[in-house]
Amino acid sequence: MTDQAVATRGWIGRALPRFEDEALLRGRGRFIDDLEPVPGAHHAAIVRSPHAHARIRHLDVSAAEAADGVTGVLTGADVQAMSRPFAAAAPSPVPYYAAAVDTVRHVGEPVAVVVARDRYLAEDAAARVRVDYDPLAPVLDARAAVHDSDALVSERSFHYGDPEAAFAHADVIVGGRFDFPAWTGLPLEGYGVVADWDPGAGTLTAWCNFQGPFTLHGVAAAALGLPGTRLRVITPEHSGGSFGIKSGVFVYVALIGLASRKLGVPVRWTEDRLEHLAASQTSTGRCAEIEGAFAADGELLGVRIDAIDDVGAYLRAPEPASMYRMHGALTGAYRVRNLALRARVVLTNRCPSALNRGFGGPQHYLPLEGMMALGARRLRIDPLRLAELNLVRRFPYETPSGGLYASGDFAGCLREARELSGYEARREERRRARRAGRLYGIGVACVVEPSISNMGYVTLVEEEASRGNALPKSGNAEGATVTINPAGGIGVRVSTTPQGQGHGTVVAQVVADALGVDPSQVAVRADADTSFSPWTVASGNYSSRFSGVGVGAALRATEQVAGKLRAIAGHVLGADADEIELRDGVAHLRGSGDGAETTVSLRRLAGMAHWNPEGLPEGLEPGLAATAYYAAPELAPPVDDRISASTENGFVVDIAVVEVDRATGRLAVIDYVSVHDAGRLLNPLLAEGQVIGGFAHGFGAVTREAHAHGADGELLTDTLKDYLCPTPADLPAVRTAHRETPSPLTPLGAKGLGEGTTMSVPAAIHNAVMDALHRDAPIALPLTPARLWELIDA
Amino acid sequence: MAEGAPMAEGAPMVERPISIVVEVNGLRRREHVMPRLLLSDFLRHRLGLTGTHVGCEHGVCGACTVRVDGIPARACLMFAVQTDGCAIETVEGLAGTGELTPLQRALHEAHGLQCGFCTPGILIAAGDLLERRPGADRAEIEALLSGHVCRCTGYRPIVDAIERVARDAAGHTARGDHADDADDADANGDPGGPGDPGDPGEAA
Amino acid sequence: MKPAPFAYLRPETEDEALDLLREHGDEARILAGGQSLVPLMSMRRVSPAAVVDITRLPGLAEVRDGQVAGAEVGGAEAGGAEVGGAEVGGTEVAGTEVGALVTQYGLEQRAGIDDALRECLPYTGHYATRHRGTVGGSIAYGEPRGELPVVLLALAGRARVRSRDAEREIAADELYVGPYATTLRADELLVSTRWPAAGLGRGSAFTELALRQGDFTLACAACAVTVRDGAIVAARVAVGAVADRPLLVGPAAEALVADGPRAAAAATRATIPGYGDHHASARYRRHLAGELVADAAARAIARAGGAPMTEGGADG
Ligand code: FES
Ligand code: FES
Repeated sequence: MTDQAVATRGWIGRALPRFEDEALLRGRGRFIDDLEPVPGAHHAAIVRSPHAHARIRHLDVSAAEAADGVTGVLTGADVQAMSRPFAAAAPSPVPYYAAAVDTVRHVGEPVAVVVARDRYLAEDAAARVRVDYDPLAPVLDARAAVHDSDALVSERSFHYGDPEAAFAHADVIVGGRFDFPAWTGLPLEGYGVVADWDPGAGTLTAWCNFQGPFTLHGVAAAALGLPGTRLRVITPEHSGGSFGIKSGVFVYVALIGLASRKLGVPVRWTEDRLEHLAASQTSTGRCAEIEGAFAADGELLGVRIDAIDDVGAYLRAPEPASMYRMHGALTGAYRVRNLALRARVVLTNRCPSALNRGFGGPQHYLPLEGMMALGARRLRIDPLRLAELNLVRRFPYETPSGGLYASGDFAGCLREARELSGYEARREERRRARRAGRLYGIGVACVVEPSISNMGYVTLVEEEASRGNALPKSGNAEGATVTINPAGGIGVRVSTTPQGQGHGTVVAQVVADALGVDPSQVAVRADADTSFSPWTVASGNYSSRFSGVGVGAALRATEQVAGKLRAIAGHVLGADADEIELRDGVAHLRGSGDGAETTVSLRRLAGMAHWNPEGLPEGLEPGLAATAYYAAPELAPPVDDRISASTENGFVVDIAVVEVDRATGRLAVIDYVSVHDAGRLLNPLLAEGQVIGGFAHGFGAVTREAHAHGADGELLTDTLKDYLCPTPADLPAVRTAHRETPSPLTPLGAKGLGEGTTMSVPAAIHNAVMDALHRDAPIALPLTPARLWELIDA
Repeated sequence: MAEGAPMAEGAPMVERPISIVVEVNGLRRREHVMPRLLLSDFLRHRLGLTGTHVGCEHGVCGACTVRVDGIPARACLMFAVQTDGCAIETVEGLAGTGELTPLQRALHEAHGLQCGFCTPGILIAAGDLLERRPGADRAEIEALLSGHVCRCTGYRPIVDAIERVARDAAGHTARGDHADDADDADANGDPGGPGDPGDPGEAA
Repeated sequence: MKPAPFAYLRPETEDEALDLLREHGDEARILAGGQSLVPLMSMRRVSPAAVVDITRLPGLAEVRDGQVAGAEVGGAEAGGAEVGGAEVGGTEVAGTEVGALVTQYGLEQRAGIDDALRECLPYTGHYATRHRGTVGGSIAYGEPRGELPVVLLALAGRARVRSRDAEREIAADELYVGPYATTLRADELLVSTRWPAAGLGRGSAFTELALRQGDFTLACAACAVTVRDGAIVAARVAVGAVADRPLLVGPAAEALVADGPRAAAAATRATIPGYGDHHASARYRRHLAGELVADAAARAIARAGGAPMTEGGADG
């Protein structure tokens, strides 16, 4: 199928700056809070819990209802009466409604929604809502929560190979506790919803900056008791970042939708930053214990992991997926066959977790790569050498837990990283620095970066036996529509809901090659409308799926249209369709000159398809449009608890060189090298943007970004003056290189690459700091100056 | 005294609008505003200038940065009444209906924006810096950007873009001596970019 | 996140402003740069009934160099240290008088200001907020983590304040009494601050470790010293972000005069309470404050032309 495209390609692979930029640079972005999609929307302010855990003794909204400009108030009791709890990927001991009913379980949990003429008046009235709370003891310690049956959501154990034997025969066993606190990708734009309930039709229309996965559309619809067709979700043209976080907007589609339904007016809510920090969504906190069994020569024989995921106050779909997202790649880059995993998921009194860049990856590689670093130290083998000894070398490779690494050149990446970093010189420099008493360290991380998640991986949370009762789930599919209008204008509609990743530009490149036109002639719409867009349950922007399935669907639809163009051109030129080549906006008869009798313009072909159905070849439908779907291959439901959890698996090798200042504990990154193999790069400029952007997220998480709570569960990181994102002066100049081992599984050979550095950076920096401080045990994150100095001083 | 300020003491607060005259991107506007209306809300929701973004409303993120009487200001940290008689510049006024400014072009070419939410504030602040200190160096640019949260780009391409404009202003050409030229081939001399029909095969 | 309603009052003259402050007392807040006040109002942590916008008052945005009433560094007042024969405080010394509405950025661009003052200004906020944030506002706000109060303390600067009936000067040492609490009365307006400048034999320096420059200070320190014949004869040491208010550290100044920067660091650690939060423990902040004091002291001494008693500072 793709051969035609390959024959005429030329735009794919170019570092083309984006078509999306111009509107944004002119301040003409169209973000949710910029839109007035319905006239006369009223404004909501949400009354939220100041407590991490409390019983609501009494709620009095009468003063708020009587306040100036107020339309009305929606309470938790209303929510309970008007909706059902949200479903998640596992049963939960605590039902999850869009607002608290009688108990609040995290700071910022909605208690009531006050709707008024404008936001200022809504906030005035919200301040007049009286809530009497009986504070309860908060649960903040995930390790303690596993003993509480009301907190334990799930517990499963997995065994692959013979881990017991591996540990029994090991020469060296190393390990430790690696905890990854919850943090957030913190999109610069918060959530926004405009909800409009139509009582006659029984339909809710919600404009919101949702990012998918579209499974969550179904979750919101079910909570509202609506068939999917009666919940119309429309995303704006622009969204101010997400990094997974905006998947959680579905909760507010329900909440604001209920307010609109109760009060009979369209309602707008724009989340402010305090609401966002307290209550939008965070990454999943993880407490992991890991052990590695090594032979004296460095061979990794077995791995044991005991992981506890803290999903916060409620199980928010698609949780507890974070635990299983990495399941196919649990053994990372290494050949080890013996693996045991104990997987537990608990509720605590924190903000609910769900998607966040890297989803499960940073939390997995911190312990796995930390274990490798500890192993290297104990074995007195250089860590890069130890990794090299254990790397997967033959592809395709099937991991013990069922993952498929279809292609790759792990050893090549590692070699390139070694050269790029000047590894030997760095080691020499370390020797000199140490002799001078400086705290200088080198850290390595080798990371397999899964992309295009298998929708079925979440079902691993169920026991093998009970899984059979439900509809089998697998795969990851996407849709796209390509149309050519009567004047020859090319339009594409995709449902990949980007928030700045440049999907429009890449789709234009792909379509341009397939149709033989300039990409500037391709108008791509990435704003989604569940009533009109071609979407699947897997649609959306997550698990770095765009370059595989998003592109796949667009390509397939384009090929259908291209086939039709060729058929019409062949008819006109008296040739077979397969003798026609599309290039430079013209259909050419292959192997002939450029004369009038051997070419016909695309514009003319479009005109014929629309204006003259009679003149079309026999059996050809009129019009020029195609909607096509593309499903990633090799993604079956789990069998024997083994699953290919992702279609593709890219590879990243990072080498970090750091120094810690003895006097202040301050961490300086002296050099950072990151070598990637994400298959074929469709647009290297955008690829580099993802790598550097992902680096900043990983760097923030390991050095400073973590949500913090006080003893009573109060949120300490409640403003941007306390939740500290890195600044440009903090971020080192990362040196990158890309290798391109094409994927045999995606249409253009690309693998996802939006999350790799977010997974690798925490591990590499943490390992470098362990090395700098001569530590034999993990260091708690984030690696703040205070924490490092306490270790130096101890 | 500003007109319309309520005088009564102790009585429940009755908000009264105050009449102000502002010049926004060269256009004069007379509006009645409540004292508490933030400049950011005034620009966005009264005047429809939604290019000024709101990312934190407490002065940290910089997305709302505009200029008031030629001085950079967080629009979320001013009340609209304070701008009575002032000239306000927002992102919409930078290029107007004309060509993109060199800074806008440089950001485009360097892939210095992804979601674009931080971009308007950065354009205003960096434009101001380059006006005051045309040859600003990398450290100054990084210090400037510490007042602007960008969660998408990791900053490097933004710093590169601003630095390139600063160097051009300082009389150097970007050609040849720029560390990251290899990363953005299209940006180098050849304006390239969308719509450039150049040979597709040539690029990096 | 929108402020509660308030009455907006915009006096045209200083006298009118002082009348309004007298009339509204504690119910009113003064709006200058607004870079601290407005967010607090948007979060409704502060909801004043009236806001007195002083930004258009004439004459408050000027910087004047000349003689300012100020203490010789190391004056006899608490917190300074001197060795025999040094001048007592309260004399006229060369310096800078900074109008309350002078912005942080505006002062930063000005040549000839004291070194510690110049060094602290980039930390006071971000590029855009420093263009609006005022020096007077930073001094009057009393933020325990603020940079300008620490420098005012180290330099033995003063605040000039006016009310309807009186004008007075408050020495920096007497200004800060608790978290965000100063000895300014509700009817008083800070009209200017006075910053003694470094001169022959005098030097100053400021240093800070921030987790996010412009937003979050872990600790900061400022030192001013007078050196005569290669020896320190007087010193003042102040630290910020380590207690509920900016602190002058007398024992550190004494130790600095007697035994140099490392001794000042040790004395700082022994003296200050330190406070802990999720970013850093009290123990760390005490340690860090000592390092920063040593660094600032060493650089101040070098600037004063003293013997380099640098056994290593924070940047070492
Ligand atoms: S919105 Fe004004 S600084 Fe963030
Ligand atoms: S481009 Fe998204 S925040 Fe900067």
